[in-house]
Amino acid sequence: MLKRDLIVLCLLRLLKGADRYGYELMRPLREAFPDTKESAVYALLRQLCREGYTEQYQGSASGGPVRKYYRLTDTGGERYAALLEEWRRLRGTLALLGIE
Amino acid sequence: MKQDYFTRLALAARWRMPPGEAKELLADYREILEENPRTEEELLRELGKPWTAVRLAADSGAYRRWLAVFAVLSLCLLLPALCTLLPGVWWLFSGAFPHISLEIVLLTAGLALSLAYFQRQGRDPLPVLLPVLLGLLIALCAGVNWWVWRILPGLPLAADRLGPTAKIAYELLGLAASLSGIFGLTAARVYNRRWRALYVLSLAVGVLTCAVLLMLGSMDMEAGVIQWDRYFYRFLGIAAIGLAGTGVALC
Repeated sequence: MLKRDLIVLCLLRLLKGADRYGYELMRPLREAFPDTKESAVYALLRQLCREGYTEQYQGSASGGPVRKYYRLTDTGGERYAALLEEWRRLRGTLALLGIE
Repeated sequence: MKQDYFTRLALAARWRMPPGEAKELLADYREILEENPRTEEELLRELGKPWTAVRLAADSGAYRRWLAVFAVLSLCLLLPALCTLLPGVWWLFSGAFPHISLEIVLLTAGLALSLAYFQRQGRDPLPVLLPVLLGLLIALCAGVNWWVWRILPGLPLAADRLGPTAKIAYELLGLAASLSGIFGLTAARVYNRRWRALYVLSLAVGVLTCAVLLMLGSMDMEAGVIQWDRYFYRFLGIAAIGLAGTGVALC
């Protein structure tokens, strides 16, 4: 599992909780992966949209400005479950090797 | 400072992405930057260089398609301009396809592809500089032809210098047309599709120049006298296609 997949997993996780706009997704990921450029995270977000794992719409939260929001699709939910499973398996393997 | 970064980002996006996608990416980045304003140095550090940021987000297949279109359109433009400069290219125009007028094929292909590729994307205002450059190119083409056919024969030049002098004048005109055509093509991608009109007119001027050079360089001694009307109608046809195509490209 590459770092790229971990970022995708995080993006999908954030969207599983609630629909979010671009900066709402970028900010926590910038803190979690400080050595990864925001443009790379944004590129992954676009790719997820292109591949149909997420979709976008114009919306606003509690009278705030109109922004582009992202939401998880059904296939996105399946991709999230698959990546999460892969991550757990990898973590289990690492634990067996004594890497915590 | 942020404007500088965003300007470069916009240029990169418009060059690398189809217009709709570039617009979307720029709107997304504008939103991200408005949420968290940063200095130029912070932007470079946290987002990376503008060209890299766009490269990461762009669909590489669409970009390759654009590069292929750009290569074909540039070839249509440059081949006529190079017809007297490279012996191989001269052979392509003058002897390789005896039953095909290669310059007309290139004009038609360049015209059709440029009109088909740069589709309407909302309202595209007419750039102020475009009519000026179109007018300058037409004036340059008319001026060179006037000088070669009206002024040059009256100059005190040895008879054997007339041909080479005319050839150089047409080669320079072809070079100017190529440069303005490449500029028009790039501007049509990056700024506004109406710039394709400059490409189309430059292509027509380049092809016309090539056709005149082919006539001047023809070894057929009767060509210039007995078949003059044939050449005249060919030149007239190229000019008519070029002007009509320019008109359509401006719409």
